[in-house]
Amino acid sequence: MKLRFVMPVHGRENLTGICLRQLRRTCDALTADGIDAGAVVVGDDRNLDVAWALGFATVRRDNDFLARRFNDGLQLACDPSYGIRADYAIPIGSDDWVDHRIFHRLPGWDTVLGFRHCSFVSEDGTALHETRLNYEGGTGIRVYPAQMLKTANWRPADEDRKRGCDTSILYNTRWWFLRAHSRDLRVTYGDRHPHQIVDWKTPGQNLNEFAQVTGVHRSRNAGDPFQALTGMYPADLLEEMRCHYSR
Amino acid sequence: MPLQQVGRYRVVGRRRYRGHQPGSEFEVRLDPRAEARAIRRGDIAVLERIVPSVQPGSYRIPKGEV
Repeated sequence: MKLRFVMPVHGRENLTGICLRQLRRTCDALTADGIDAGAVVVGDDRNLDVAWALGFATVRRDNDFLARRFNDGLQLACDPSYGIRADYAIPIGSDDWVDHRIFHRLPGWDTVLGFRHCSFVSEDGTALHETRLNYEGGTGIRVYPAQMLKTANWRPADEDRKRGCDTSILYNTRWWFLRAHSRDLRVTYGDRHPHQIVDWKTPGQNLNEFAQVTGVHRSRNAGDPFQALTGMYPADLLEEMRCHYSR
Repeated sequence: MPLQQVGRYRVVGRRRYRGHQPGSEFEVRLDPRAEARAIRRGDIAVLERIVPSVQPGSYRIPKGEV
């Protein structure tokens, strides 16, 4: 099985660099467990150089429309004419960490694998809230079979969206799937623990702010993020992230 | 319009369309009826039909991945 994360990047070079290095660790852990994992990183700044140096595929695209970047990444990962030929694609943010174990059980061709449990770190880095998202599909980090994305020509999101891309990808994939197969796709959930996905918020640069997300959904304050995540994620990257927030 | 194609549009009216400012251009697959209405209202003009894709020369794939 071949799996590719799709990560648009823009600015925030220190934070994005840490998250790209963590993504490299995630991919290496999956590969060690028998799943060929990598990433396609889409952007137009120095983050692409970091991604390339880490062994990820890259696409250069302006930041006019975030959805178009996601589409570029999904297409490069899955469209056979480009060569990577991933079996699964997973949109992910440039401020996200994921536990590789949640991808051990990959979905069938007609199923999207989602995750409802996500931890959010406040913009000042002092609090981690364990949150359960109550909308269909959970976080935007969802596993899409390439065969499913093919029905949307590997470009499911509305090309002109600047936000709401996660919903656009799921909604349109569902529309194309229904059109192709005369039935709905399935959505299942692979949650394992509250820290399986960590979203590191940044002041003034998030589409969805910390207070907004943790206020709407069921949420528990787990205290200092760097203590809460000790043992779950690499100590050196946690230290880098701690330094990032203390700047 | 073939399913793979999307429209490339310019906002020609005085109001924003789908969040796009007057004079700006954008690409999207519109429902044909919605497109027709928007054109009749003078909101948008069709520039061309395209099949969006990863642009040649814009991507790099590490050796061994293909």
